[in-house]
Formats: sequence, C-alpha cells, structure tokens
Amino acid sequence: MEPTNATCQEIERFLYREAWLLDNHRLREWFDLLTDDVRYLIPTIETVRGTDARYREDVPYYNLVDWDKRIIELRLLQVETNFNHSEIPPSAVQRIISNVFVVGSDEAHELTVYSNVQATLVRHGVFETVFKGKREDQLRRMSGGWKIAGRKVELLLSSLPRTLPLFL
Amino acid sequence: MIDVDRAVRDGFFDPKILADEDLYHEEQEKIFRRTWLYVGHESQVAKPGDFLINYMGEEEVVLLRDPKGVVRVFKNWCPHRGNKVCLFDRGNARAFTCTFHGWTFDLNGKLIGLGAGREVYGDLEQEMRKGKVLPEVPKVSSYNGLIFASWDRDICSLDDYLGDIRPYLDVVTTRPWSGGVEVLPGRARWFFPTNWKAIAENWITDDYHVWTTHSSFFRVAKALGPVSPLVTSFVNPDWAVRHTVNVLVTAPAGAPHGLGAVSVWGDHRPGTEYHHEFVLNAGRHLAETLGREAVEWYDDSVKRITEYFGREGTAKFCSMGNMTVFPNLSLEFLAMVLGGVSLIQWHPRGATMHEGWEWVLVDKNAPDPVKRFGQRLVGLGQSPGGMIMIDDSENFERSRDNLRAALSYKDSMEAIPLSVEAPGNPSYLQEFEKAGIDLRKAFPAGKVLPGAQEESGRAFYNYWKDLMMRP
Repeated sequence: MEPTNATCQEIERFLYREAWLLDNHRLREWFDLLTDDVRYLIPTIETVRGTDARYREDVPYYNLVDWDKRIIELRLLQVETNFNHSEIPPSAVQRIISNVFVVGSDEAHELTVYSNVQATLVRHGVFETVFKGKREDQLRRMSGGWKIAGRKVELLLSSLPRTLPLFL
Repeated sequence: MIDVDRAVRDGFFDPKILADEDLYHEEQEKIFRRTWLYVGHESQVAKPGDFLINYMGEEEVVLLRDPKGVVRVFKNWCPHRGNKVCLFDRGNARAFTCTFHGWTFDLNGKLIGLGAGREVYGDLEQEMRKGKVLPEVPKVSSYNGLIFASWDRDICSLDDYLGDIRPYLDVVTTRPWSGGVEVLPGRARWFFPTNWKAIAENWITDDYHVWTTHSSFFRVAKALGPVSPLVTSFVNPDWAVRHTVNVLVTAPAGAPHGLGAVSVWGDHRPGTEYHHEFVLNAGRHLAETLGREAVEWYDDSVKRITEYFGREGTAKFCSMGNMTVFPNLSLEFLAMVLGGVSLIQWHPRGATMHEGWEWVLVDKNAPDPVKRFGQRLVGLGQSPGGMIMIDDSENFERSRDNLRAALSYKDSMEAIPLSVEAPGNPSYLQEFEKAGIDLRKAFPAGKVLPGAQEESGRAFYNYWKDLMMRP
C-alpha cells in the first residue's frame, strides 16, 4: 500500500531537506529531525550459504553502527570539540538521495520509506570517497512534521571504502 | 630494489618501506608466507563442513572443519583455471564445486568429480585427476580457540611463535571469569590508505598518539558515564604514563608481540579507584536497561570476576587498549563484565593500502541482550563506524600522500627518515614499585615498559628487517 502523491512528495522534500542540512554541516538542526527513541543501524555485510540475507537481526550480530539518540549526540559533540581531526578542515560532502519509495497509508502514524543514498566525501579537497547504500527508514508523523524514528542502511559494498565519518 | 639493511637502523627507518611496490611484493613471500597468520576462531567452524573465508596476506583461503573434525585451511583456488570454488563468506558444505567446469572438491580438498569428465578427458580422466587438489596450507594450529596457519613447512610451533604473549592472550581471548567466548557473526571490513606495517605498528607501540589523535573522543567519552572511567583518566598523559604500562614480548622464535595502555589491577594510588570500580561495578546501571536476565547474569559475573581478580592487594594484568601479534593481528580488551573484545586483522592490499577485518568476541554464556550490547560498545569506538578509528584514518590518509612522494627521492633515508626513537621513561615504572605494586608479579611474561615508548616499534621493524633479509 502506498500513500497519496501528496504524502510521497512531502516525504521526498523531508529527505532532501535532511540531506541538505547534513551536507551543510547543520548537525544540530538535523539532530532535531530524530525521534528520542530513534535507532540508527548499519549492519556489517556478508554472504552466507543457505540464505540471501546479507546480514542478520534475529541473533546478536556485529553492526558497524547501532546507535541510539544519546550516542548520535556524542558524535555531534565530538565534532563540536573542534578537535575531531577527521573533520578539520570540514569535509566537503554531497549526498544524492533517490528512488524514494513509501509504504503505508496516508493515515498511518509511521511510514516505511526506502531510498538510495550515495554520499561523496572529499577530504582536503583531494581525497574522494563514495559511500553507497540502500536505506530503510521509519518516518513518524509528529506535531511539528516528520521525524526519523529508525534508519537502517544496507551498504552496497561489504568493505567500507574508508572509515565512516558521516551520517548516511 | 630498496636496501633493507640500510632502510631500518638505529631507531630510524626509510619512509619508502611504507610505499614501495617491489618491496611489498617481496613481503608477500618473506612475511606472509613465513609467519603464523590468524585465520579464524574454533567457534566459527564448530562442526564438520563449517567453513569461513579469510585472507593470508593477499591470498584468499577457506578455513574448514573436515569430516574427522580436524581444522584445515585451503586456498580458494581451483587448480584448473584459478577460479574460486567457495563463493560464500561462511556456511556449511559437504563439497565445493567450481562453477566454471564443474570440478568438485571434498572437504579434504580432493577432486572427486568433473563436469563431462569422460567426454573431455576420455581414458586420460583417472590419470589427470591425480594431484588435482585445492592447495592446502601445510601448517594449522590452534591456541585458545584462535586458529593460525602458515605456508612455511619448517616454521616453529605456534607455541614457540607466540611465546610470552600467551598469558595475555589467555586473559583477552578466554575472559577466564566468563566460562568462554564466542565470535559473533558479522565482521567489519574497511579500507583506509596505509601500508599494513604502519597500522600494525601503531597497535604495538603507539600509546603516544592517543592523546592528540583521539582527543575529541576522550572529550566526549566522559559523557558515557561510569562505563568509561578508564578513558576519563587516560586523556591526561601525565596520569596515563604513571598508571599504565606497556609489555613487549620476544618469542623464542624471535617474533615481537606487544601490548599497550595496560592497566594494573591492585593499583590503589589516588586516581586509580576506577580500576576496581570499572571492573567490578561499571555497567550495572547499563545492565538494568537490558532487562532482568541481563541483571542476573551481570550480578553473577561480578562474583566470578571478583574471584578471578582476587584480593585487592594482588597486582594483575587488567585491561589493555591495544595489542599486536606479529605481523598483523591486533586486539583490544577491557576487563569489564559488559563489553566485547575487538579482534582485528590488517590485511595487506598493496604498498599503500590495507583492508581491516574486525571481529567481536563476547561471553558465550551471556544472554542475548548482553551480547548485543557488547558489539554496540565495540562499534561506537574502535570500529570503522565509530568515533576512534576515524581520526586514525585521517592521519594515515595524509601521510600516505607524503609517503608516495618519498618514492621520488633517491635517498629518502638521508633526507627524511622516519623515527621510532622514543625511549620511554623508566622512572614511571619505579613509581609503581614505590607504591608497592609488584610489576614482575603482575606481568611475569615479557618485558614491562613504561607507557609511551617506541621500543616495541623498533622491535617490530627490526624483526621485519630480519625476515626480509633471509634468503
């Protein structure tokens, strides 16, 4: 079930705005787009004989990122110390969000939103790394607008091209 | 070709050894085919047919348990045209079939079937089958569940190779109060640009970098609360060098292994209350958030860990921030009831690139919420998605750029040698003694060194040089 075009457009605009805030290092404003009970998950990727699944959630499993709001805020605080060397000078980042596909009804309190993300990170104007993944978000309708209640990013590559300094 | 004898000497080394391609190719033979390399954990190949992919240097290998229950290691290499026969990171199988021409190998690596054998080979079929096997790594040995393998048929025993690092590995990889560990499924993989030696050396000797490189992490880590009294204190270099040590081991066969940011149980000087607090109590409030089963397990674990560490007067190895087992296996371990052990392999991927693989070890008897928490704790810090490793990769990305430029200079050793000269200050060790802490008793194996020293780094490069100069 998909909601109406109007709702889908609203969601797309939300995701573009979110990406714009992150690309422009407006991390605190981005932080306000997360619910208090948000879970941000990036599992490690593997291929296992006997299943098509590239990761597991049913058993304890090593995840690259498995953060609640408190931990996400630590990462913001880390950048704000002005001693986070991997962000000095600040990275130039460009996220491309596409293939937004929304599941749920217009009346639903939460919608599942799939999208593709490709984030290009450039350090010192010369070192370029591209992170690619497929996102599965839970967006929750709140009084002020949409908020992210959950984000899972399934990376395309099983090996990160670099350590991950940014939010996908 | 680089003169290795000149390239490492007197606490200096030629930057080219971290960037030269010819030297890198030599290393594949002289280092990665002549040492014991970690390939996996017994818990990952528990039953016959269980297999796991790993790398020895650049060579992809299949670790498996054969029908008799013996652990074997084979190159993932069909002897026909070099295709891979194992297509999954892990699983269970009775045989491996190459999808190119249908050659099938059993768990002993033997060729047991061909596609269209009769049509293609006719009467020659039986004859040509002989000797067609998956190349087998001749030496496989296990220590505390850690499986190592070596291509060198003449290599010393694994015990002689590990030597005095074993008592520390014992604590780190079995967590003796816990009833045993297991490796969680899922492994982190990442690239960042550095020669494998630079990052392996960082984990054997470089406590020094922690205060500068990771200052942003320390500044926020105190917000984690009582989970992190270690990091709250370690941020102060004066505190760190007076309250932590390093240990360097030279195994009987000559390989250097070492650990750093090591804390000592039984240190009661002001400012060290955290040890005992951290080990015994850190995390009960966290266990409460994980549910009743976690709290029960936690309280029971505290009894066992208290018994293990014993009466507070006895000096004992407690936790460590870093360890390297030559050439490229590293571990991080905090003695606390909650939490996981980080096990990292720095796989070489060219002269200025490595691929890191990280596994998490947890207490196998812990309830699931505790295991899940353990991997979260590793992930937020010493992992490619976490807040510690990102600042390391920044250092190496920049220096890789410089190191490649060093290749342009005929004599980079004279112009811009790199330094591993820091001696370490022995008076810090004396302070332990003055406080009544018997470091010999706490660390009966290996040589205790002061915090922040580069003797372990010199030992790493000197042994590397030794191996590279053998014919």
